[in-house]
Order: sequence, then structure tokens, then C-alpha cells
Amino acid sequence: MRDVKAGSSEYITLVSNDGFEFKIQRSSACISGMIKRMLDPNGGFSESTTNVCKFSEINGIVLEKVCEYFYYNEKHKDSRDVPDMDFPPELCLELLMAADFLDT
Amino acid sequence: MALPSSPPLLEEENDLPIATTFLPLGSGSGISFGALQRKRQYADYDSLSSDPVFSDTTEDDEAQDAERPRRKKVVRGPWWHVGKGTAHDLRRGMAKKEGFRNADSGVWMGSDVSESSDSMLSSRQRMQELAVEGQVEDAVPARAIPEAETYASRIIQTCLDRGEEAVDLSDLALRSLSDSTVRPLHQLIKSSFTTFTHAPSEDEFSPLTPSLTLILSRNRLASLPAELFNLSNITCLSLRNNELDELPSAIVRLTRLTELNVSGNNIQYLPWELLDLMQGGERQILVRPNPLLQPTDLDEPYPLPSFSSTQVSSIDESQASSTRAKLDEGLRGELELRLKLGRTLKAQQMQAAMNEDDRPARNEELIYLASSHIRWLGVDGSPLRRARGTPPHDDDWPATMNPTAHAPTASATTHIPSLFELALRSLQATHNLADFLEPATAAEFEISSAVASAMHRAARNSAGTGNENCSCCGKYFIISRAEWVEYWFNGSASQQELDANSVLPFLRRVCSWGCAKVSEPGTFRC
Repeated sequence: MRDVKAGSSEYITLVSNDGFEFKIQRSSACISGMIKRMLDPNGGFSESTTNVCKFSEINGIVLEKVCEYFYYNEKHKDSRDVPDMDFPPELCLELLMAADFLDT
Repeated sequence: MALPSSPPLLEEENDLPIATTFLPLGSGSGISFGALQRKRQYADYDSLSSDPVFSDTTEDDEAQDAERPRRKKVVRGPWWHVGKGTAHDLRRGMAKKEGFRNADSGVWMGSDVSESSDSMLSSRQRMQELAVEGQVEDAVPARAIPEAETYASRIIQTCLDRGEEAVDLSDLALRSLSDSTVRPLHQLIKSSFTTFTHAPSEDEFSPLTPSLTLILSRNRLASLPAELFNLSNITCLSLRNNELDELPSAIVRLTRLTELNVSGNNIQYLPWELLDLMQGGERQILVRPNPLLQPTDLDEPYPLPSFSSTQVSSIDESQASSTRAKLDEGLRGELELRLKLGRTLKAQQMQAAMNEDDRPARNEELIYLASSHIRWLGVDGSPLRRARGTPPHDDDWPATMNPTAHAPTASATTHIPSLFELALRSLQATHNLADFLEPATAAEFEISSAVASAMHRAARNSAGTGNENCSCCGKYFIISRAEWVEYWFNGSASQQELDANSVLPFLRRVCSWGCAKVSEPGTFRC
């Protein structure tokens, strides 16, 4: 990744609004345009130094699914004809809004 | 003149206006009055008769009411004005009356026959009355459905009744056509053409599956009903001279189509899927005239490079790649070169195929020429925020040498659908999206406008022609991530030079940035 500087950690932490923390590979999380901008050292956000992103709009259950998607994407990024990831119906709307927010 | 001897009676009023038209003519009136007089005898008897002998003896008011209109009425004015306008009221009154009599008198008498004798003599009158009643009933839905469409659905009904395969809905000034109007065509069964004078022989059995011909030409349609594309039995579809902006990609579902006419619309580009229909050349597809996009100005004659036909056929693969290197000799020259390249490659493949089976070579060619810039779209389908130096999006989609310029960074060009898309697909599959799009619900969930428009799109897809398919990998998608126009040569093999009438634009939409790959120069379909 272009953004990864020497010294910045390989893993970052995503924090949900109800306090759940998800430690996730930086390269996977940067699929999200939002997270990528937050962690951009040139962006001047505090997240780029602390490597912790707090999301006051996303709760733990949804953020878990989002992390699952990050790894799903990472795992299959070079393959084709991948089966779609399944989401519990009750989470769809919240995931959709989270995806819109995260630009994923 | 055979004028009636006595003032006509009310039961006859409906025949009178007709009789008056005969009156001045003199000829023919005798016949008509003869008929009238015969009728009148019956009617006179009917209305002048006293109470039937075996009449019911009920003294209640209703029975008396039933009797009342049977009393003789005194009418002033010319006899042919009698009963004008009151005809239907009277008929209804009689019908009501009949109801009573049938209910309480078990004995059939001459005086009881008012209705049945009339039914023989004035069935026309009854028909008119029924027609009036029918119109009254129609009036309510007619407010919801435009008149032209009501007419169209009647035509469809007639075709259904007669088993006609050609449904002609042209010249109806149709502005819209709803699913429910078209849907009955699913039930159409071909009428058997033979008159069975003998038992059918073995080869006379044929399926009754219709080959629908649907003619919607010269209307004012701006969109087509989704149900139209489920009518898989359509073999001929004419949409000539309408106001369509776009031909839906669902057209590819009409696999039995042999004739398609979309000329005279406002179509700027064709769906990519139409290329599949044009391929093979068994189908007759008329696209022009339409304001189709052009890759570049092709109207002026181009100084043909000194290629003779012998040279063209002698180009082999290595020369083909050298042609590819000459990319920057001006767009027009490039297009000509690519056409020749495509022809060469096609000729080679035809040569190879000819050895296996000897199909006659088709005269019509489909050869890829050029693409416009790829328009990259964000997760919610909105154009990406442009980096500096990116040309503004051009609605003319001009062809370019380098369509993949300004592509997003390579790390993002996967084939994996975005989380947004995946969540939207799940939502579409498991929920009724319209529920979320109610303003109150949208406010409650704080749905942003981008999400709302994406959900609108998904809802429209599931209500209409379904989700689109990626023009690259074929998987379905709701939100397109990139789109561009490809220009294909469609003309005869003998045509040496490109002109504006031999290039067709096809819009391609793809499901992911990874799928956004333009066709290779030299690609052809046959």
C-alpha cells in the first residue's frame, strides 16, 4: 500500500459505537475509501497516528460484518465467480448505510 | 304514407326515431311500418290489457307499483318525439316489473310476455341498452387508464378471442402501455388454420404456440412495459416512430425475435445485449434513423489509405500487431485500420471454420472499432470525484484511443462486488424495498439520499425488468460501477470505407471495476 509508512503498524483497530474493538489488517481495511482517507498520513487526521478508527454511527454487530467483508474481499480479490457473501436480513439496511458511509 | 292510425305506445318508442328517418323518403317506410304495426299489435295487447285473470292477489304497495307504469300515458307533441330520452328508464322499469311478476305469478299469460315478446322484436334495443350500461361500468376504470390504452387492450382482447398472432397497436397515440394491458398476450393461442373436413394426417399436427407479431409503431411511447420482455413468443416487434430514449437491455430475453424495428425514436445508443441478437445475422434489426452517437465525425469522406484488397487479405498476425502500433495516426485513420484488422482476423477464422463446415459467409459484419472513455462510478453509482486533469464527462461519449485513462488505482480494480452492492442485493432479496422508501420510514432510519436512490433503483429493478447483467462477466448487478460506449462496425463486407451509417454505438455497463475492460481491437462477431 502506498499509504503504509515504515513505523505504521500492520494492524489497525476499528471501534464501534458500543465499544467493540476489531483489530484488522491495514491493507484489508483500506478497501474502504473512508478508512483509507482517515489513515492517510498526509490527511492530517488523528487516526493516522493512533491507528484507531472510532465509528459513532456503526454498532458492533454491523462492524463485525463489515470486517468480515474486508477479509472476504481480501481473500477473493484475484479470483472470479465468487459466491456472494450472505448477510442476515435484519442487518441489510444497516450494512447498506454503513457501506455508504465507509465508501466500500 | 302509411302513418300510424293511433298514437304509438310507449313500448315502441325506440323504433320511432328510425321510422321518422324513413318518413320523408317514402320508399321503405311501408316495410318499416309494416313491421312496426305487427309489433304494435302485440304491444297494444300487452299494455291495454286489463289485469290478468290469474293475477296475483297481493295487495301490497310493491305489486301496485309494478302495475303503475303499465297504465296508458297521454303524450303531447309529435308522435316521433314520444319516449325520446326516456327509453332506458322505461326499459329498466319494465325489467324491474318483470322481476316482480316472475317472482309471484306462476302462470304464463299473454299479458305477462312484455319482456319476452320484446326480446324477439327489439333485441337491438336491448343491445343498445346493454352497451349504455357497459359504458357506465367502464367509466370508472377509464379515468385511471388513458383512453388509448383502453382501446389497445380491447384490440388485444379481440386478438385473443380470434387467436390472431398479429397484434396491431399502431397509430393509437399511446403514451404509455402498462403491464396489465400487455399481460393477456401470454394467453394467446394460435388458431388452427385448417378446417377439419378430414382427419388430420401425421404432418398436419403443429404446436399452437403463437409467433406473436406486436406492432407498436407510430405511438408516443417513452418507455416500454416490463411485461413485454416476458412475452417470449414475440417474433416480430415494431417500435418504429415512438419516443423511446433507450432500448432496454431486457430485449435480449426475446430469444425468438426475428424482426425488430426501433427506427424513428430518440435512441442514442443501443444496449450491449443487442449485439448478441444481431450476431448470427438471422434477425432483421432496423435501428436507423435514430440520433445515434458517432465515434467521431464520419460524414466527410476520408482519404483512403493505399490499401488494396489484396494487401488487406495478405495481412497476417504479425502485420496485425504492427497495425495496432500505428494507433496515433488520427482517430479516423485508426478506425479504418481497426476495421481492416477485424476483417482480416475474421477472414482467417472463417478460413479455419470453412474447413470444418461450409457455411456460406455472411455479408453483414460486426467488427469492433473503438470505445469512449470509461466512466468510473462509485459504490453508490454516482460518478467518482474527479482527480485533477480528468476530462469532464462528455454526454457525446466520443471515441478515444485510450479508454482506460484516468482509471482508479489498481488496488481497487477487483471483481468483488462492493459491500454496498452486496447489502443492497440482500435487501432486495429479503425485503420489500418500497417499505423503506416511505418518507416517514426513510426519516426514521436516516437513510441518506445516495442510499435512497440506490434503493429506488433496486426497487424499480425488482418491479420491472429485473436486474441488469454485467456486460463483461454476465453476473447481475444493481449499481453499475463503470460504463462506456463501444462503437462497432455494422455493414456489408464489401464496404471499403467507414461512414456514419455503418457504425453502431453500444452502451456497456459492468458490475465492478475489474470488469471494466474494453474490447480488443480486431474483435468481431459472426
